[in-house]
Amino acid sequence: MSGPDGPPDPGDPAADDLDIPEPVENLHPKEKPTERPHPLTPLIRGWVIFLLIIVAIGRELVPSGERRDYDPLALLQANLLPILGVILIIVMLVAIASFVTWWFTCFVIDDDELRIETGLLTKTSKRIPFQRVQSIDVNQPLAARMFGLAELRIDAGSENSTLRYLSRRKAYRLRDYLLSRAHGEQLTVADSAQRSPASAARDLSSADQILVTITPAQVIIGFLTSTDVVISGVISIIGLVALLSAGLGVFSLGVFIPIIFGTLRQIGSRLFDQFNYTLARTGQGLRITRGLTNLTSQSVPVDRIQGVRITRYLLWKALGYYRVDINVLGIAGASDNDDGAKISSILLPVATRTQLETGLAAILPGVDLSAIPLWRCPDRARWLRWLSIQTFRWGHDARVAYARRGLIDTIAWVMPHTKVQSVRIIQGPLQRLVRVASVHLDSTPGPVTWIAPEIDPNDARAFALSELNRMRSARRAQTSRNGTDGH
Amino acid sequence: MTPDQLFAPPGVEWQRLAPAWRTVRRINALIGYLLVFGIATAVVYRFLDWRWALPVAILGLVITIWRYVRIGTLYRSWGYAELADDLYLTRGVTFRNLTAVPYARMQVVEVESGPIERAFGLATVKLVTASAGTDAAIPGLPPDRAAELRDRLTSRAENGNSGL
Repeated sequence: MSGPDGPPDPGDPAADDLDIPEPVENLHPKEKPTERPHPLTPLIRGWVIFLLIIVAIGRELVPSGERRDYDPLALLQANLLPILGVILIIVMLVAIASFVTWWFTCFVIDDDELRIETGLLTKTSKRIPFQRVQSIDVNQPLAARMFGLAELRIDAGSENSTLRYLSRRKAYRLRDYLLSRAHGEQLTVADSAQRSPASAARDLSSADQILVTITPAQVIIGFLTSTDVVISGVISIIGLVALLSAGLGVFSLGVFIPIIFGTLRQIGSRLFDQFNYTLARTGQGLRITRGLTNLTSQSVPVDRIQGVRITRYLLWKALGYYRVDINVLGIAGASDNDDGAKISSILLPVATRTQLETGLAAILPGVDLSAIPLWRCPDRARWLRWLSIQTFRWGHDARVAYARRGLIDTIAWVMPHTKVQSVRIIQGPLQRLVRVASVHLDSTPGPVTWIAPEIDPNDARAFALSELNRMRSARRAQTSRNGTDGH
Repeated sequence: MTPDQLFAPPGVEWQRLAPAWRTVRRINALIGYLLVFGIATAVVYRFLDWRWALPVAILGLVITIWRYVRIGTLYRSWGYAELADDLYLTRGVTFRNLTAVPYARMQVVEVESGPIERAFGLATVKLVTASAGTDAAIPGLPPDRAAELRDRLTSRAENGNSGL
């Protein structure tokens, strides 16, 4: 299989005969042994496609209540041979493609570099400096998990690379090593392997400290009592009552059975994604592990957190639940919905007061939000916002700026002074009439935006100018703290 | 506090844009609005008749003249000031806006110049931070002044620590 197109072979005599050594030498300073992902990789990739085909056929066979002009089962029996043939060809093609992808994927993770080489026709060699690595996730889709494999997702700001699949132990070990290097620690692969290994089920070693564990009951109750679910539930019930009272009960079945199934499906997927949701402090920083079938392990780069949003839905106020989202530099594309195994900007999907305080203490150490003196908007601002103006609060302490509002759901925004990108004062024509202005603190893209709306112009100007001073002194304090380790 | 005080830079005077910026904006406004309303008038005249086309043409003229006249006020609303640690920028007539960007937060400083701007010897300096909300650009600068400003801002950005 190894030929002219094969992976670089350190002992290949032909390489020495090439007459153009310079660029080649520069590209690969010294040839070193590269590694391939786990040999089971093509099998698992092929398996996933095979499952998809089976599921697609299975769906056709299940009676779905629609009237059809043909019987799919009879159709299948009549054409069994050609259908099996087509499936076999597809599976073969997928298997070949998976094998080729696997064969031409090589990586080097050693004491000097992190490099990933891919591609059959177009060869790509990607070298990522250790310091550029922002966070690393270890995902275990069900198919891979059954074989003890995992994928390693390396997030380096603008570009992400995924190595799939590695043995679970190896994925965890490389993750720990790369995160240590990303934090500027000078250690070797061998040193890293000495450290205590993580357990397979929860990706936590004995040295790690569990901060928050969210129970499945919390996830389900939190989901059912979140405002958008409650609103759609109320609308459904009103609709049901209306249909029944109009004597159209038959229609209600057709409408409401899908709604009920949809809700159950959402609860299921939420539970699968956020099962055993654990926030832990490890040697390399904070880490979130979650999932029932697909196990996700996501590192939270604390020093890259740009802002925090704390949400309390209306019914959560009675239950004492909170949700925490964060802006993280470089993961702007992260989805903030609760579904999907993708990287997410959620820190805690549903937390009790104690869990909230533990989580906040981990990402904003030494900040006491309840001790921040808060200001209200002047009464004349009610001309602009009739009801909600009563709920607006804003304030700051030495570390963070804080703003809160919410008539139904209460949302609070927290932004550390070190992370504010720019400060804006804005005054529209109506605000000019009422003599108020807004102050915005700009952050990186994400769920957190900081606005002190409709405040007195004197306060707005004093706050904006003093905020620039606070940002400056906070930055200087941070620079002198980090000065020694080369940030 | 009057609106002017609210949006004044702390302790210094605003640097204003080059007067030629007004001409560039006026040409842009004339081309843009006359083109749009000219096409609209022509379409209405073709498919209805001149009694409908006339109001459209008059409306177009009024709006164009209004925009043309307002450019003087808009011009006076723009200003920037380089302070020790932050760049201040103000703009807007209806929605007034004061933006302060710490030099340490600037990631990229760009100089841009479109064809009409170039014809009048003007350029735009754009500041990019890690936030999409910052939206800070200083238009209407002579190219040499724009390049100077860019170099000054870049060197200050390098001296400060971005600390992301």
